[in-house]
Amino acid sequence: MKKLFYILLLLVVFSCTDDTFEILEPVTNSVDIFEVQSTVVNDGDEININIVSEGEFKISLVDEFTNITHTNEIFYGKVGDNKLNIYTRALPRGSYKLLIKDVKDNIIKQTTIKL
Amino acid sequence: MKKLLVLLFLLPMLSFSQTINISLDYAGLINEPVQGEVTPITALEIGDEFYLDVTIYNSDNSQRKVTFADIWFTFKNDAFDYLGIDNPNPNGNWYTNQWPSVYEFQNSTTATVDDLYGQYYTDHRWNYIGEQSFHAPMVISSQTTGELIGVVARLKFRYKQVPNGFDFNQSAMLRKASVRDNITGYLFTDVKAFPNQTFDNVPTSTKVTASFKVLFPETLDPTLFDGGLYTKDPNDVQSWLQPDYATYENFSTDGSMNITQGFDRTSDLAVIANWDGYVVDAQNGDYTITFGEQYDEIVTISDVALAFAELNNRGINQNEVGNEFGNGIQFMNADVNGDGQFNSDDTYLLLSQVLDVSTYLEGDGMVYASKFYPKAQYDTITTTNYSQIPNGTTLMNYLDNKNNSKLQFSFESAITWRGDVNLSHSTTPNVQSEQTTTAKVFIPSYAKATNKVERQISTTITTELVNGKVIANITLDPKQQKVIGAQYKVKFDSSKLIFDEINYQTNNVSTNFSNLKNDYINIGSFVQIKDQYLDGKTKYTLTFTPKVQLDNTLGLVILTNTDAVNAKSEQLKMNIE
Repeated sequence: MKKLFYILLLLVVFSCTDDTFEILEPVTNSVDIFEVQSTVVNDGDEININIVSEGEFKISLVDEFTNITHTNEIFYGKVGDNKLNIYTRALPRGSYKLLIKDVKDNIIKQTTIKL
Repeated sequence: MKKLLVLLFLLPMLSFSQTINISLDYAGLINEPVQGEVTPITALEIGDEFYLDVTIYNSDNSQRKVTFADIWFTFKNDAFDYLGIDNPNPNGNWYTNQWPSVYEFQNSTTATVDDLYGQYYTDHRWNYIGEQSFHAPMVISSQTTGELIGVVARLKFRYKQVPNGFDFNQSAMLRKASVRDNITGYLFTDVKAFPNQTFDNVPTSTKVTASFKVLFPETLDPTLFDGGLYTKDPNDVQSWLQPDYATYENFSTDGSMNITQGFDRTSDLAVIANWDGYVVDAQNGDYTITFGEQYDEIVTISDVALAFAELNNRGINQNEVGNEFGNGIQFMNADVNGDGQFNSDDTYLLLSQVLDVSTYLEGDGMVYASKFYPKAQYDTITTTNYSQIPNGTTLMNYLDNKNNSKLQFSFESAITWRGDVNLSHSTTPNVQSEQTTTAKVFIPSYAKATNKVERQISTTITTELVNGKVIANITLDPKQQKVIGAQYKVKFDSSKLIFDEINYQTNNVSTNFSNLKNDYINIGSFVQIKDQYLDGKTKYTLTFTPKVQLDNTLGLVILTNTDAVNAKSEQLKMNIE
């Protein structure tokens, strides 16, 4: 019992010490954009989309307020990381839902971006 | 011993409980008259510009720090102009945006109002409720590697003239927030509005003031228009100039403008309102929307269809009027050549305008298209008296200001347009006697319709890279509607694409059109043959050549505005899916 107590005590002590953090960029290309709840994107930014099955997908930009789907891009996704550029110059500034849909128009991933 | 063990187990768990409080606090004038002093809220006067500070408090920032914040507010833009954001914290890099006050924030059904995390991540909604909304949504968002703590943002507002008895309760309010530590990827789940969620109780002003408001419909963005107070030039009765101290500025989001500076109760005064079109875009660079681009949205295929319908539906003896137009102002707007009568000359001019064959406008300026009337006069224009009302285009709004016993002046003008036959971009007329006397049928534009559900169809755009070209396909689903006209505004990134061609798959009897203008293309179809309609096979295929190497097309070609009309000349709403 005493040993257990010491182990637990050590665990607590170590859990209270400062961790050394690796400083990362807030949103990097290696991060799946759908794992980030909300982010601001600029024209030409590269986004990474992680996909679990190969096939045709639709990526949509939907205005958060008006629900207008301003554009849908059809792309062929491969398993794993898929890097796409997002172009914002033609889009009105605002907050958008970024959706990935399968061929049956089911939403499989969703996040929010701001332009 | 067992208790000690339990305590030891609990300790680490308790130590991770971390609360983020966000507060909204009045913080004095932006330019204090006495440096170092803060003007109290009780001394605020109309025209004052002041700060609301956003403060983030972290109960334990030893391990997890706030480096990302996405904070949503609402504010009453009838009383305040949002001027932007100052950044007191070197770690902040704020994105900000605001939307018109046509949405209402509906709280989540599961989270309390002050639970900003709960509101963000559960079932809150923005309900579109139109002009009766008091609150305009706005957002600030920052993502950094440095910590956001203490006063992280200073929101700047200007106090506008308000009607007597204005309710200042919840003048600004925190609504929802997502806060995280980007370094560890930790999302804070205990985010509260505390101690101040709202900004309230602004005192009413006692100064002599004057405000001017154009009753812009929701289809126009007031901030794209500007104007100022003018008085007659004493040396030239034909000219107008700005009085001393008068300002010239953009209209605020609710269409109002403070004209107190330079205002008096003896001179001949007017407000000149004009098109500005300047858009501030910090990311991609500022740009200007031309008046021509705006006018292309005002006069569209549904105006043409309604004008043709009014002309064609004149009864067996061809002597009836007002079977399609319910308002006198529609006859005035349809008389695009300004000869005092609406007839077939006008309908063909309208069609030529939409097809971009020719234009009836004498120049590029707004002065050739806009009309302003005092709201009280606008509401007296009927289908029987409209010919007695001046129908010229103008930028002038003459003010009835000669009343020495009055302290607070509020002027309201209606705006309407040459060619806006369905009044889609005009102030809604409120003519009490009109509906019961002359008008037999009134077909309002979609935005003003009551049977909104039945008047909806859908459309979709898809883009893809095919053999090095960017292909955009637009399809139409008319649902149960007999669609005779459809029009789309397709925007594209002209820095990366060159428009090549369009291919139409439409009804064989339709008139198809496309006009390329800078970075957008107006496309559409119009059917004038009886019992012929645009069906579900309608498709427009646009081809673009990339100027740069492209691997995908997301955002390069988009749909912005759409218009559609059915065989009854009713404007339809296209849901873009």
